[in-house]
Amino acid sequence: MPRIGVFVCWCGSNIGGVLDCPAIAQEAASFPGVVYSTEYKYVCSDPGQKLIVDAVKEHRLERVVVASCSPRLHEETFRQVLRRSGLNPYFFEMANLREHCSWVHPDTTVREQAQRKAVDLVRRAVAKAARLEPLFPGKIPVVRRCLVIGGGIAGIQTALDVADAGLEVLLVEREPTIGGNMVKLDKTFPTLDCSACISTPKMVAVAQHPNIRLYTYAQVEEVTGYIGNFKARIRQKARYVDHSKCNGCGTCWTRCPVTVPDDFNLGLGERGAIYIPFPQAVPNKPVIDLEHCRRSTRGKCGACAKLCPTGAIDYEQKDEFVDVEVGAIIVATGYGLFPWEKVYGEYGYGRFRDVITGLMFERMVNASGPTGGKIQRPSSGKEPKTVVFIQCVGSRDEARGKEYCSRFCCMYTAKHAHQILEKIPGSEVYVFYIDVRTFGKGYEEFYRRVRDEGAVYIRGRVSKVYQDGSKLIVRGADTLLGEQVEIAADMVVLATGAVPAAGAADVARMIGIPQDKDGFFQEAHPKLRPVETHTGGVYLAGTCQGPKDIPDTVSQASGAAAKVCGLLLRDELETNPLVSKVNEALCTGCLACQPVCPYRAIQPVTITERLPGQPPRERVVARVNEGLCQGCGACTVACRAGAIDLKGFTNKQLIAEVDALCL
Amino acid sequence: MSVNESDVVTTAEGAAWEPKIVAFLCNWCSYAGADLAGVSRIKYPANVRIIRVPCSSRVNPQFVFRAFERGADGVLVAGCHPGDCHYVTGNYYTRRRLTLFKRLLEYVGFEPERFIVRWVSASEGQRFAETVKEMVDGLKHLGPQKRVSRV
Amino acid sequence: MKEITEMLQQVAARLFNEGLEMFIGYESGSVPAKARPYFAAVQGETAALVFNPFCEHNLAKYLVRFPNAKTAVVVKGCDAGAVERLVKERNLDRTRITVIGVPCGGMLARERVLAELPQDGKITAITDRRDAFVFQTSKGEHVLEKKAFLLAKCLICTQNNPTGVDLMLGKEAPPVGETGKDPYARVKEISALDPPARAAFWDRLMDRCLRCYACREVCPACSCTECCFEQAVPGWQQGAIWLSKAVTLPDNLHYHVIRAFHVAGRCTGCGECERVCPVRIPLMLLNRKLAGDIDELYGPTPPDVPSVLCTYATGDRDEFT
Repeated sequence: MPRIGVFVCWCGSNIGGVLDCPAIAQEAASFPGVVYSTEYKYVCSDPGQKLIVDAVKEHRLERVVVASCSPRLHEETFRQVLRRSGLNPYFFEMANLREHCSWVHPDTTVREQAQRKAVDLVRRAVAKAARLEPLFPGKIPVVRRCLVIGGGIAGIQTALDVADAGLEVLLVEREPTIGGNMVKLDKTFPTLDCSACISTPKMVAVAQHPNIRLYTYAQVEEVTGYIGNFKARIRQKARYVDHSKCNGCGTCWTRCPVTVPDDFNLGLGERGAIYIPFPQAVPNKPVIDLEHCRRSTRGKCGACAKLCPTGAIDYEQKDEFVDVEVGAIIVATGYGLFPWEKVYGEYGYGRFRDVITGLMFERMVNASGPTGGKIQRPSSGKEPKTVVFIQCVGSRDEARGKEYCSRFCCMYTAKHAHQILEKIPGSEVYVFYIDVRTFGKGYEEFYRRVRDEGAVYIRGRVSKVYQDGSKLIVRGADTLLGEQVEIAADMVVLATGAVPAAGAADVARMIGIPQDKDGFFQEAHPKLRPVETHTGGVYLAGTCQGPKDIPDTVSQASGAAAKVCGLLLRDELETNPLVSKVNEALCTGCLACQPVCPYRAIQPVTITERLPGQPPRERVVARVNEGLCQGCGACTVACRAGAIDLKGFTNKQLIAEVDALCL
Repeated sequence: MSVNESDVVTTAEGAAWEPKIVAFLCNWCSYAGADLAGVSRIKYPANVRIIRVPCSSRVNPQFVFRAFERGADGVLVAGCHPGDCHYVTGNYYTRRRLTLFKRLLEYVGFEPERFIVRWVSASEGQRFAETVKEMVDGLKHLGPQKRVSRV
Repeated sequence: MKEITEMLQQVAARLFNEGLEMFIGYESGSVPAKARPYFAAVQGETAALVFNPFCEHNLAKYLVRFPNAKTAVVVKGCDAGAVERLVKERNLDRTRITVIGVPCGGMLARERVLAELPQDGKITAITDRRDAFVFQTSKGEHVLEKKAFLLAKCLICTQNNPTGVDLMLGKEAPPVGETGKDPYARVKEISALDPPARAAFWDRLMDRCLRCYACREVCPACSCTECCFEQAVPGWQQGAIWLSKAVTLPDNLHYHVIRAFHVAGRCTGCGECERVCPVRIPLMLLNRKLAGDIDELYGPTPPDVPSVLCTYATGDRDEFT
């Protein structure tokens, strides 16, 4: 039996305020193998770690148990402590007394039960510790290339940062151009600089960067492999325009006879069937929307092919697949807007043409937008004099299933109010809000300024919007004055909240990133690991992780890039030693384990078996490729004989844990 | 003394009996979900004892039976929702294995409440807490598992 | 029955001429209405081979004992799957084995037959007359209706002509199983009990298990080099001890439930476990329960997959939500 030391952590009052830590330590001292047991205020602190190092020396400890918080938080911390103590870092086990005990059983009425549970949890950890074996990580080479999924501002920034560090980047964007949502915006708050002016140079930089390979109108369809060695399959959707021949002269898209509502302008404008999404698109070369192309709908036309000076039009083009190997993946799939038309009956379910969203307003007010920058009522084209803004549409609205704050709406509404007041002399602006949140640098000042300019802020929800002649009547409550308000408006702008981009769930599944309850990608730790995911080598940038404004998005994108550089600029990676292992003497070679392995890490090999008194015999057994194995343990259960075991979660350890818990 | 000692013990024990649940939670979803319940300070009964496994597909049905033999009143296995497995496909195997195993256990006379499998994601702290609460209620109703218990 | 017996002897003789080293078949038992496995190692031993409605044993598992010999084995319809299973899981080298199929008219329940036949009569010949076996004895002729005398497993048989054999003897046998008989009838009855009654039913059975492991030894799906239930040696397989050797109700139930689970989707339905059980535990009730569930939930498993538990469909029924 190895010599085990137990360290019970108070975590200040987090554990110590609920559980009797000295009593736990005292009881643990009687567990089999425990030769030293103590408690301390903060075992993870410097003096706490020193306590372990010293105790290992003084009491010749061979295994260490820390009873504190979740191993998901500090297992790695304490493994390093063991390393410093001269022990194999895998001679360590944790009991989770905080998340699984003191925090969830704080009531004095269940104190005794909680205390018993804590002792059980420590007993389990000790039982496992007694059966731990030394483990040694292997080394694998790293592919020095990064895949970035999504070409909005997050993807662009992260791609540029990684590429600038000298690493190769593959940037995949599903739309025909990069730029994402930011490039649709007119001005950015609170500085009021032109969004396109600051984002299009970055787009061009991406296109021209020698280390970036850009795939627009493309999608990642499959990701396999693991940190340092992913394999991805990219589908390059057919554009029906050979971009190697096209010189972007624009003849085709100006002469296409078809007109289709334009997605880039959210249906406020029109485009042809062959089009570029907007004038500064990158790449500045068109695609054909075959669904609307007259040649494909009516069988004749071919105007673009006839007009093209370089013969780049190719109606027969097919989707192509590119298989790539990358060492890291940054997911920057961004956000979409809450589909308010489906649930907000009080705003007319999208029936009223003069009820528009904030993003539509951005396009309308933009000089290169469908109205040439003129603010006008979609119904009549006339300039609105009275405009009502409604905040928190699909945010902070539990009844609509969205509890969270989308963070940027308060500020863009303030900006919109400012733009109306500035551009339309004599206009009136009313903003219905719940709370105004101006958390960023210069935000509060901007909001104050807009109010000073004359925007009327009304605290309360709008209960109904209805058409009355050419006016929209907005009825709501002013909860501060405690009275009903009714405004005859020319236009209503909804501050629709952010939701994960369409298809986010597919990306999550493909790569194996958990999603939070709202569908945003789950970071590894909400505070301390905000750009990492729990899948090694996969990082998050921007609004795919949660709503955020441009500066936060760019910061996170750079953060993710730094993480990727830290990973890919290494020569080799240490492999996880918690992998499966086959006991060949027990293996019958049935290979039931082989198909259940998601990493194809198990292959049959022929061995020559020499048993006493028998001729040597060749037989097939399963063998685990430790470089590929990720340690899920699915194979261990497929193996009836128990010939496969998972290091760090062995049958013996798990059985001992069961026994210890049931005592 | 006229008080029958054994009667006293029985009564005292009977009043204090609390079901014991052994829970196998996958590291990536359900263990994280249980952690989240902690972080969110969601209270649930203290009857559950958690064993961390990398994936629900690591849970050998023999561990489940073992727990019952050692006196567990209920066993919970929780993993990522099908389709969300950290190891891509592990929980699809879990689903097949444990569907058959649970049906088999019930066939040989275990009450359905004794063995529960649930999908609990990393964001479902509340669901984890509710699962434990439900199980405890169900097991209290059934009483101790004495059939294969050796304690 | 006589022709098949003769054919067997002839084939065995021929195979030995062609270099066969072992022939696994049946010989008559030392008591009436009984057959037993027979191992002919040389040409001269083939005359003892027989085939009759008492050859209920599945001989497939014996093949594992002769890994290096050229071996032939006699299989009935219900045994053929066992050879296939053993080959599929690499327990047998198919190239060394000659599988000889015999058409089966069903196997008889010995006790019932003996009770029917005159006590001092000696069986001289048995003829399969489709619905009945006709026994010639020293006391005259006796017609035994199959419906009344076949083993229970034969009454639900759907595979009495072997497939995948190297050599098929005789003509294809007409179906034996009664049409419309629900193979899961008994399973359903047990399932319909309430949990305490089900527990009582099984406890009574499991309590008498001796843990002799005969069910495991005979099972063609129990083919582990070393069964997990015997890995009780510290240091072996990192010392995991799955199950105590104690013969107690919990341990017995653990053993049988897990054994059934281990053979889930791999059980060939031969019923040998039940036949060899010295305390007559109806073990096929466990196997059949699993087979029924697998059939209901997952349907047939593709042939290139080792077993139903080695594959999945994303749309598999989810009873855990």
